[in-house]
Amino acid sequence: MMWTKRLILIFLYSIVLLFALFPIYWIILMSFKTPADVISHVPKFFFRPTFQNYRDIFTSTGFSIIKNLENSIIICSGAVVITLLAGLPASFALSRLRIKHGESLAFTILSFRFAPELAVILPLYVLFRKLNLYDTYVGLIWVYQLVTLPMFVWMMMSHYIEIPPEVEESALLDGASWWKIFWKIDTPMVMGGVAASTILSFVFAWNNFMFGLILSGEKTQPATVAALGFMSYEEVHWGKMAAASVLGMLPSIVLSSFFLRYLVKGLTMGAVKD
Amino acid sequence: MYRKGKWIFVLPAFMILAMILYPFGVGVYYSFTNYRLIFPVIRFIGFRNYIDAILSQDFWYSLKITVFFTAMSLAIELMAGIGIAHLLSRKFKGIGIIRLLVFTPMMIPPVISSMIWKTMMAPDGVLNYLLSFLGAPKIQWLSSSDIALFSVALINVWIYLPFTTLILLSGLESLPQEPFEAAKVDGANSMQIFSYITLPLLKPFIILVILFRTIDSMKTFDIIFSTTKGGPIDSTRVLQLAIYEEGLKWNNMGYALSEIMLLWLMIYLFSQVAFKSFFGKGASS
Repeated sequence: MMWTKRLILIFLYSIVLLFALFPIYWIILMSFKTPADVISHVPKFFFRPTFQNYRDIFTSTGFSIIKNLENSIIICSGAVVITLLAGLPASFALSRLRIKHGESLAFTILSFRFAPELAVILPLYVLFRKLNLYDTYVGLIWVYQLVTLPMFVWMMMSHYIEIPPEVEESALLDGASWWKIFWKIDTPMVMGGVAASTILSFVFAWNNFMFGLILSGEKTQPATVAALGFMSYEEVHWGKMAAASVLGMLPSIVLSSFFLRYLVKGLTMGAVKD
Repeated sequence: MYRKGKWIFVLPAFMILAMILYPFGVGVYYSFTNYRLIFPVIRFIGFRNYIDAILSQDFWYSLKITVFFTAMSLAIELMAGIGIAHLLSRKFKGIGIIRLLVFTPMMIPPVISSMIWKTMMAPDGVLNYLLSFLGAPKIQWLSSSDIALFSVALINVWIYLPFTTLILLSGLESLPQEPFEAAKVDGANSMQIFSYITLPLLKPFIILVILFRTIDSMKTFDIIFSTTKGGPIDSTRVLQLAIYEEGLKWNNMGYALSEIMLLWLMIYLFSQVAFKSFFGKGASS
């Protein structure tokens, strides 16, 4: 009885792991295949690996993924820096200070998380053309705030809210300003949360596709849009597409695996606690 | 005396919000005009676009597709999510690694996940190859109009099941232990414990999952755009894809914006209801 239960459990874990990991394994495998191995009628699990796909997407003239990876890094870092500067004091104020209409303001920030992207992208497409912001880093960093700011504020509020009020009361009695409390007392207590929220905001920005698809052109196209480009031509470059996909997903996987538990906190605690 | 000081904290975020609200406001204005990208002579036409959208078959067709897509994804995610969350809530050495591995798909850019699945779902792809060992016939995952919607929903599930599981898992771990112990003492079997104790206690977390996942699925774009582009025979033409084409391919900006406002209105009403049940009944249970 004990043994059968154990076997069933092992079987279930295997199924779940297989479902989650096989596609990732498969795309990594494909990125090391020659075109002939890729289109082989019976899918190949064993073959002589080649680095040609990676060499191609880095060196091929006119279609180098390096530029797109650079673009992604510039856009996402820029977006996260601005989110950090604006979002950190805001999430402190919204969770620690009693602000008039503070709750409805917090809710407004969060509600952007739920807006259909096109409601903002379509008018921005028109505006960017008029303001010459189409296909510029500034324009994209602006619109990426829609991705990074609400998530960041939501996650940070869940950290600030946990600081016991006594910490501030004594400082306030000593005549400290709110600014000092924010900068010297409360924020140092939640540095782990700041790091996690920053990284996760970066990952959310990195994973975004729609803004880049519509609002970027040749100069600023991010990696996610470029990766799809390998699929959209008359002849699909499977190997290159796979290599570009691996490079496109690597930063997200590496960065977020360290901070996953903070995400749960942001999503549940931040919402459960009124 | 601190009143003024307080507002400075939220001012930067407020300014950024205003910069996002501004295009949204412009969008609302355009939705009441005949604005087209090719001849930008803007004329105010009142609710004309909204009436046209509500009377058009295309809008309702795409809404139906979107709702089916959402319902299928949500049903699978909830059932599988509760099961997997249970599996992952067991304590033993190595569970940390297993959890991390199971959660990996949610960190990958959805476009890339969709491309991976598109290659796997090709008629001669590895998915059919693996299923052939179980005796399954060759399935036209993305090229049959009967199955394509289910296939893209499956991709949606693969990407976001970890998210669902994560929330339900944190729910399971936050449950009080006493009711479970009392039930065991009373001799309840595991099925009874699950349906009379676990599920009711998990309710706020289930509502949270429904809220997030319904809204996100209603807005789906990346998955469809990178796999079927709405085909075959419009069988996966979800709303945001239809609106994208209406606005940027056919240049009907005003009309497209009226459709997106209708979608937002539906999402907003839904989230209000879900939020009420989450904060209302959820907090007390």
